Formats: sequence, structure tokens, C-alpha cells
Amino acid sequence: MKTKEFCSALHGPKGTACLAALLWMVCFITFQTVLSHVVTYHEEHHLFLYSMEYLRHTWHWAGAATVAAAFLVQFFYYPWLGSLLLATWLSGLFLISHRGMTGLTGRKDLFLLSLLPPFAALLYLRSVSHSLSTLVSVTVCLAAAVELLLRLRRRWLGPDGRLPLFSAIRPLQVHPAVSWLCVLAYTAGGYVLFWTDYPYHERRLCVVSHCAGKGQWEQVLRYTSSYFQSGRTNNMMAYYHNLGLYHTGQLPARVLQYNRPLGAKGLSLAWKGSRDDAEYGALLYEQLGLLNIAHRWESEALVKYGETAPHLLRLSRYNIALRRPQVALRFLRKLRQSLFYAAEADRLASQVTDPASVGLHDAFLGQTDHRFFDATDLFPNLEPLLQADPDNRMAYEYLLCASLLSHDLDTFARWYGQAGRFYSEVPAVFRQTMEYCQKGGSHD
Amino acid sequence: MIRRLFLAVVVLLVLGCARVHQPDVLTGTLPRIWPDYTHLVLPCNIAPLNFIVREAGSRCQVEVGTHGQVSFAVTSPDSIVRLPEAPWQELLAAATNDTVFVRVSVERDGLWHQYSDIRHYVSPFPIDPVLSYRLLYPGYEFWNEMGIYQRDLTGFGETCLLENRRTGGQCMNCHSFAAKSPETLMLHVRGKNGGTLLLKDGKISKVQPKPAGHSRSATYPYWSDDGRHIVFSSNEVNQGFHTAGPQMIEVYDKASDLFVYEVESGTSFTDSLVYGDDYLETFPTFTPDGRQIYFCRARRSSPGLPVDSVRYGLYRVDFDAVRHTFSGLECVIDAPAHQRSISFPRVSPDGRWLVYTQSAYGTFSIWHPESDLWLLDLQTGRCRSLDEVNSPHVDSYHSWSSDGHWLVFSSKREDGLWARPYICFFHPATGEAGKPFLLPQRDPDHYNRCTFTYNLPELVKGTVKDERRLERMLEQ
Repeated sequence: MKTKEFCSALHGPKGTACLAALLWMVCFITFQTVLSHVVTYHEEHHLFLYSMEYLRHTWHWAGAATVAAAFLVQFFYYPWLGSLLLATWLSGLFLISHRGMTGLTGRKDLFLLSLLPPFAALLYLRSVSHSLSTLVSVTVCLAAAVELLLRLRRRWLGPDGRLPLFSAIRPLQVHPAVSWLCVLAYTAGGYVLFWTDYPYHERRLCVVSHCAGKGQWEQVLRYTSSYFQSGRTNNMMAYYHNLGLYHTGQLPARVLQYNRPLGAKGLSLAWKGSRDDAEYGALLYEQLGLLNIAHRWESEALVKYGETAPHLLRLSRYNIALRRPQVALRFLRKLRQSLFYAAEADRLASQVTDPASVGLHDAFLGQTDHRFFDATDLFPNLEPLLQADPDNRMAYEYLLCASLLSHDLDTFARWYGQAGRFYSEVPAVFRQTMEYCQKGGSHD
Repeated sequence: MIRRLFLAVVVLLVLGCARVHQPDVLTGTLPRIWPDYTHLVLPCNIAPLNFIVREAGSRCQVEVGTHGQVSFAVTSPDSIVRLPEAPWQELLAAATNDTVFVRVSVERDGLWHQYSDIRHYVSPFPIDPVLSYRLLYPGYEFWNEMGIYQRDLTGFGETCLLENRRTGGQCMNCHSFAAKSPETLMLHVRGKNGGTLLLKDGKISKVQPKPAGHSRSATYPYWSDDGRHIVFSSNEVNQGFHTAGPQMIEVYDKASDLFVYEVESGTSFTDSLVYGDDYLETFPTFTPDGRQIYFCRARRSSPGLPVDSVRYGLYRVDFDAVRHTFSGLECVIDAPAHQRSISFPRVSPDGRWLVYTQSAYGTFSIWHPESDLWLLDLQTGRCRSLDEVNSPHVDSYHSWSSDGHWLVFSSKREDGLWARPYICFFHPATGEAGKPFLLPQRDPDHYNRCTFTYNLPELVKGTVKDERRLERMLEQ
């Protein structure tokens, strides 16, 4: 008897609440761990502004669901809050489905089919390319449809009436334990499905770019190294890996470790007109002091992804450093209309006339150069950069590494003599390469 | 009781608003306001010039009138001044060929400080009632949200001519009208289902104008005033980015030629005078009588030559619309000889003046901070910088009004990045221009928040009707 009661407990109000709570916990933990990058990615790619202009514009161009999604996503500023909201959202989806299932059929949800929508939503949310506004639309439509149908049912058939379709079907007589089996089956199936197509690379890229943006270089190296150790090669990973190596002082020592397949091209991202790469390239140029080029990449990213906080902040900082306070202020005025970035915008706005305050190095400060930047290859740009900014250690290290990886020993030998400016002890790989050059070693 | 209370509040509010505060202090100086709407020549049909007062104070009051008589006054609880449309238009109508004053007072420390009157001369010549422009983010290679809009200059209404949100996110550009008529227009749409959309005699068609055997498609257009021909340049456009300096990008042509498209027959023709490998020809424009084409021409640079060595001069060629022939190629301004380069020539409707943009080098002056507007007197051949309208930043793409009394042009003078439309009076008899003013907006703070750039402002004599037809044509 007790077993049967236990089995039936799932269908009472308490059982439903327990299931919702359990689902909430699973989702919360998922968004805090294996899908944590989803929360940060969406936060970085949506920005809700408290202005009529924003509402009108976004509603007009992207629709009400996008406005609603952006409103929700602003709270992802705190990742724990984002996880909490997403978990609540998916649990709500379960409750809406459950209400619809039981209310419309007038029967218990024996197979717990109402668990399927939140499970599907969770699977959908695995990929950052899946829009939250779609999920908003689905949730709102589902809630509205359930509510409407329930009202219509009550109006036409009375409080206990059933829709004709369900009246005609004889209730199934199944053991209550079937519901538990369904929970287990959905969980197991969901688990398998979740990991079958889990976007590992997407997560790695999101985490790496996020950590790089925050200067967490050890984290960057941890993720990129594990990627290369699995025997794969990717330009984006190499780009972040080399940035990580430089910032942890390991670039000369480890430059030949994973970079051979890509050569010098792995040191940077070439501009190929790819919309997907647009938001990643600026970081290297910003740190090299090539602010015009960083500005270009960031402008393209702004066009592609819209006015989101990371792009507005970066463009504001670049324009402050490039002595264009009015341009910076325009970006900051946008940012001031947000909930969580207003203080940062105010802080930057108070510094617009002080280019040094944003901590960016402009390698070509006060200079005009009508040469075009080679957007397809960083290497040819490094020599002019060093000529304009001889103390640029990063440019120097990248130049020597690029010449090593390109087998361009002439350039290497030409610049090797400057090593004393940057190193108390010249890195072994540079020293050995120079010795090799002096012995008349070939370029291969 | 509640109704009476409500009425009393309304009456008090109305009285409060209508009350004109007497000045406690006369400053004797002009108020600092933004945009700079001081001492202008105004079209008699322009929308109210709303502005922001940049003087310290808790609230401000603005009285507007003529001949010392205040026509209306507004009190603003902050620094933003919005003038009512109907009284403003009535005042302009009454003060045509006369002056109006705008008197600004600011309440500071409990005292009303009154500034010297701003005086505008109201020209009897109305401006064409519509300004058409493209709005987009100031990106370089990518685009996203983009649209071509029509703004009512007598008020603040803005309607969409074509937006890419309903057309698959395509790039659309180079909207152009024949003789400022909304009945005859063209624009390019790039990408899937793209082409050149032509609206003429109430019919819309999608065409691909290019001469037979020509590989490049049509780029920069200009209609003949009779709407029978469009002269195009066909450009192989490239862009490069500078590592340093205030000018980030250079847009340049690797090749460009001219050809004329006959709308009725759908045929294109050209001539070796304006087509070939030795020269780059671009930015063509018909004279109002359609007998000549002005354009910019540069010697094609050899590979390896720095881009700042390419400079364009102003040329003209005679065009026979019946025989479809070109003749008498002539250099009008040899700008490269003076280390300058010319773009966007536009002849005034009376055929006497030509305004062009001059920069240090290159063709795409919109990205050149040193770009300025210049005026050429086609009767005397004398040219001069339009100093009365130019600024230290980009002053570039311009459009004449249909009567030649007004010019609208793109300027980046506010910040160096976003182009905004400026309007100025032009005196066709003397060639003098008035002080330019920023296109007024209902909310004067609009430009401070707007991160879209105003591209290709074109004055038009009316709005394009049933603009949804353009969208439908694209879908076909």
C-alpha cells in the first residue's frame, strides 16, 4: 500500500511541486556548471536599455520577444542570478505544461509528458547560437494557449468538463510506478541527448574569450592547452593560446609547442570578413597598441552584434585613448541607460578627456601613417609598429616569434640585436636560433 | 468635487506655463545653446528649431516672436526647449522676409537671467519639404540594420522608404531622385534578389544596368532632370585601414568608368572618353539641361604607389541624349596639380554653380577629416572654399534644393564619426552661403544618443507614395 502511495505521490500537488523543485535544482546546477558559458554569452550579447527609444527601436527591428529576452538577460550580469532565472523559467515551463496537460484532459499526467518541454528547452539552450527570444515566444504562446483553452473549456463544458477528444478516450490503467519510470527514462534520455551533441568547442571558445577579456590568462592556457593536447588545431584557439603565453611570460619558451601547423598565422586572427570572428580580433591589436585596428574590429562587431556592453565599453575606451571624447561619450550615453553598466559608464565619462586613464597604449600616438594595415597577416605589420614604438615589448616578442614560425631568419636576425632592451636574459629559443643563423643555418 | 479639483489643477498648470517671467538680470550675451541655432537664415517652412540650453540654471524660458512682440513662450523645467509646431509655423509665415527673435532666459539662484536675442532671418524661399537619407551604423565592411527614410522638414515626421529588416538584411544604397521628384527614383539593393530598383511613371522595375560586356555593376548614379537617363559610375571599390592617424579607413577604387543608362529602352552605352583602363572616372552628375556630364577623374595608379598619390580632378564631357554620344572632354579643375582631390560635384538647378567636396587625396571624402565643400562659378570659372559652411571635420555629400536656394550636406563636425545633415541658405545671385544648421529634431538630444549615421541626404519635393511597392518588387 505504501509503495503504491509513494508511486502515486508524483501526481498530487506536492508531487508536482517536488518535481518542479527537483527540475529547478538540476537546471540551476547545469547553468552554474556545464552551461555557465551560456549565461555569460547571452549577457555579453544582449543589453536592455531603459529608454523609450531603445524599446521602440528594438520592438520595431527585432520584435517584442527580443525586448523581453533582453530584459531578462540583463540580470545575467550576476551569473548566479542568471542561472536562477533560467532554472525558474524552465521549471515554470514544466508547471505551465502540467497545468495544460491535467487541466485540458481532466486526467493525471501519468507519463509526465509535461517534463518534456523543459527538457527540450534545456537541450535547446545548450548552444549559444539559439536565441532566447524564441524561447520567450514559445513560453508566452504556450502559457497563453493553455490559459485560453482552459477558459474556453470552463465556459463551454463547465468546471469539470473534458474536451470531447479526451472524453472519447478510455483512461489508461497503469501502475503508478510507471510515472517514476518515466522520470527516470526522461532523465537518462535527456542526459544522453545532452552530452551527445554537447557543443564542447563552443563552450571552450566562450570560456576562453571571456577569460581573456578579464585577463585570466592561466584559465585561458588551461582550456587552450587541453584543446591542443587532444591533437586538434584551430586558429582561434592558437590566437588565445599565444596571448595567454605572452601574458604569462611563456611565449618564447613555448612558441614552437603547438604553433607549427598554423605557423605565424596562429599568432593573430586574419580579417576574412567573417561575421563570427568579428568580436574576437580586437583584443590583440588593443594590447599591441594598434588602436585604430582594434577600433575597426570592434566597430564591425558592434554592427554585427548590436549595442552590447562589451562592445560599447571597448569602443568607449578606444575612443578615449584615441582622443575622441565626443565619440566615446555617445557610446557611454547608451551604456548609462542600462541597469548594471551605468556606474561604469559614469566612471568612464568622467575620464573622457584623460586618455591615460583608460590604461591603453597607443603605439602611434600623434603620428599619421598612410600605409594600409595588412588585415590578412599580422607579421608584415610588426616591423613598422616597432619602428614607430621601439619599446613595445609585445610587438617585439610577437615579431621574433612570427619570424621563427615563418622561417624568416633574415627578419629574425635583423631584430635580434634589440633583445637586450627587453630581456635581462635572452630566451633560449631566440638565443639558439641566432646561433643557428650565425652558423649559416638554412631557413628550413 | 474631484472634477473641480482637477479643473483647478489644469487651470493652475496652464496659467503657470503661460506666465512669462520678467528678467532680473540682463546678461548682454548670447546664450550657449546646442545645436547652434543662432543667427540663421531659415526656410519659411522649416520645423521648430528645438534646442538644449547649455547655461547653468534650474529651468529656462524661451520667448519667440517678431518685431519685439512675443508670439509665444515656453517654460521648460530642464534645459531642453521644445517649441510648439503650430505657433512656430504661424510665426514663420507671418515673418517671411523678416526676422524672428528667440529670447532665452534661465533661472539661476532664484533670479531670471535673460540673454541677448537670437535673431533669425526668415527667407521667403521654402525648402523642399522632404529630406531622404539612409540610416546605418558607421561600420566599415559589415552592415546590419539599415534603411532609407523620408523626413518631413516642415515637421518631425519620419517615414520609412525601405528597410532591410523585411528584405533579408540586404545592403541598400545610392537612393537618387530625378529633379528632386518623388515620382522618379532609383536605389541599389545588394545581395539575394538584389538589383537596381527604378520607380518611374508609377511603375517599379528591377534592372541590372551595365553596358554589354561590362563586368562591374552600376554604382554611383545621377538622373538627368527629364528622368530619361541615369549616368552611373561603375566602381571596383576597395578599402584599407590605416594603422595611425585620425583617418582610420581609406575607400578607394581599383577601377571605375562611366556609362549612361537609358531608362525607357533599358540600354546602357559609354565611350572611350569616359571608359578605359588609364583613368578612374567617378561621381558623375548631369547639368540641369542634360547636355553635359561633370565627373571626377584621376590617372589610374600603378600597383605599389601609395594611395595618397591618387587625386581626382573635375572634368566635363558633352553628352548628346539623342545620338547617345560623348564629346569634348575637358578638365575643369586640375585639382591634382594643387595636391588636392575632388569628389561629389553637383550643379545648381540654375546651372551656374557647382559645389564639390575637396580633400587631400583619394575619392571617398566622407572618411577624410580635411574634406570641405567648395563652390565653382561655372560662368567665371572661379572657385572658392565655402568657408561659411565648412568645419574642421568632414563636410561632404551635398544636395541642392529644387530652386537652388538651399543646400543640405553631411557633416561630421560634432564628433568626427557620425555624419549629420546640415542645411544652409544659398544665394544664387552672389554665391554666398548662410550659416548651416543641424536638421531640427523633436527631441534636440536625439543626436547625442543616436548611434546611426545619416548617409546621402537628398532634398525631395515630396514623399514617395506607396513605398511598400519597393519591398514587394524586391520579393519578386
